[in-house]
Amino acid sequence: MRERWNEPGALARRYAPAVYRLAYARTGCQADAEDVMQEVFLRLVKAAPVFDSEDHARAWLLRVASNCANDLFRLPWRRREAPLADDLPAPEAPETGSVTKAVLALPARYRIPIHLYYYEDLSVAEIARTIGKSEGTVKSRLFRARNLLRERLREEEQGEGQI
Amino acid sequence: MKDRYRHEMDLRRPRQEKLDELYEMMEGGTEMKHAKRLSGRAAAILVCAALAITAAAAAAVPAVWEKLWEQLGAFAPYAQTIDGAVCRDQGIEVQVLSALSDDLEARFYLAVRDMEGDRLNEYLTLEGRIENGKEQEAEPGRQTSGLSPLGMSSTRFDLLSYDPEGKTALFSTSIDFWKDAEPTRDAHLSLTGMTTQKGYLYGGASCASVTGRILESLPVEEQDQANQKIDHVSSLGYTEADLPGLKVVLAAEQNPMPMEGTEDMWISSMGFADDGRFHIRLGFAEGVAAGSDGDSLRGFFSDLFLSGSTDKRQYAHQITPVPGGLDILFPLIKLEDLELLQDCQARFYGDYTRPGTEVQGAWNIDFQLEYHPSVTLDWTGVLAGRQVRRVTVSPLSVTMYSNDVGGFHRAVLYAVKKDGSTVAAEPDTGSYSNINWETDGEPVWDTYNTWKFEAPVDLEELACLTLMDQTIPVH
Repeated sequence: MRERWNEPGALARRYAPAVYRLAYARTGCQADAEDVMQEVFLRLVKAAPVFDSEDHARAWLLRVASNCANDLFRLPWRRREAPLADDLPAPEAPETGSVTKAVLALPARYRIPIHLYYYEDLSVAEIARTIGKSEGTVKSRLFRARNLLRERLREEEQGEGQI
Repeated sequence: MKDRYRHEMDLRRPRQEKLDELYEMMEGGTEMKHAKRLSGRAAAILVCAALAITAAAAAAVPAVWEKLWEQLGAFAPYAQTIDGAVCRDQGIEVQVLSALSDDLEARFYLAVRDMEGDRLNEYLTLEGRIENGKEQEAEPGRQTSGLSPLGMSSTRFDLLSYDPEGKTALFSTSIDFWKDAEPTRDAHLSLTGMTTQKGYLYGGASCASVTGRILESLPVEEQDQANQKIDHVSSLGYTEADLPGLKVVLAAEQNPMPMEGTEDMWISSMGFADDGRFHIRLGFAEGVAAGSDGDSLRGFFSDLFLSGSTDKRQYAHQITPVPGGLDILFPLIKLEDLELLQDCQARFYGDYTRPGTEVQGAWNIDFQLEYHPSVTLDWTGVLAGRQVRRVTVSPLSVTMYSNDVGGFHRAVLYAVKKDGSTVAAEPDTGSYSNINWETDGEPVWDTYNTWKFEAPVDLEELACLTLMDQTIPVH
């Protein structure tokens, strides 16, 4: 009767890591990203939206994850005491992964668009719908973000990497 | 750069215990739901109405009412009994029995009764939606909690009990309003179908008994190879070269063992096959098939869970339909990984179909919701160092708007009654946002907290609220 994209358990199995990674790209903190992951699926259960397709479900989850990561919901099981400081560098740098590190060093407003573009392979129009901004704003943010990444990685790698 | 970023991000995963917690919550787990749900909504008639169950209703489905009052517990006097919200189609009667509601959340209880046969059982699931509420506009300069486009309806119906004698199932469902929406008088339930054919598996088994012995294996037919499903093999950075060249499945019933949580499926064989890779063969009871809608693989997944390990090989698997079950191949777990399996749990999850009945129909019920409206306290001020700009309280819950930056969300709130007794309210979901986040300015925090009482509180008897040893006066 219900397709798997309307089954919260199956969606959690399939998309929890993607939701986590989007939240991690925004927060740079494992605990925060896990909290956002929990919150997104809690909202899924509470809202019980009806999806037309798996793509629809994925888009919904990424949109809510983006909202939650920006507007970090506080949960009963949440451990964090202080809210995210939006313009501070992400609090927890990854042990490995220079590109991830560079993404986390971007101003907060660039992190989600660049993650959706690089990792989720979304188009500019899809990113615009996901984060609720115009396509022009998304293009501008992607352009600036990529320039910043290019500069940062050049500095770090001394010209070794191509962007 | 894109490829490097993808690769780096692929290595990032939430901690396994957090994933397990999430899966438990989503799939079996009613603990969280129960903890979050016993409150309701608004207004008027309630109080003793719930106790005034009509004799006719009680006589018709006494076990269901008994179960309902058991569920409501101390909240029963605050629940609304809904009269006449009943309809019948296909020989099945659906009745909205009760609601427990304030302007934070509405919980509804409904009964489904087979009037003509014995088509229902404890596997019954409902298709449809319950709707109530209207959006509230955010205060100027503030944000909603983000739920408004998504709320005001629910399609999730949780089976609370099934009474085989009365052939009646009791369900509950709820709608959250938070600060984005508010309840309305008009409520609507619309069901389009129900079935006992749908099962959801969340089973598991320990792999500790696996030995290095090669079990009897059978070749995979070409047509079955076409049906194989590969999950997270190439996406984990592995290629076809990492997969076994020999395509085999385990023969059935070599070392059978039950699967916890279900009698519909069991472990038929588990161990290493001729291909040198780890396999698990599941056996299905008659009439049982994996997946939904008759598709034998859709919506059915498996994993190995190695506690504390991020070894991504555990996530790769292929599923092959075999007579009376499925063979699951973990292509990246080889004979030399035997030791790793000693601490491993195999888990199987997803939809399956089972023998049962499906009934399509139209059950539409309009009814009036009565809820407990909250009141806004005539107090604002500084509480434990936070500026509080608004506090609302209902017999079921408390909400608070402040600039708290952490702390309130973990603190238990107490209602102190005029007789000196107290009622605790556990913190529930809330939100906080930096409403200045898109500028380079200082963060401006807009925080919304909620608490739900463990027992209802008569506002006439309320003397004050306390939070973090500070007092909020109630006049």
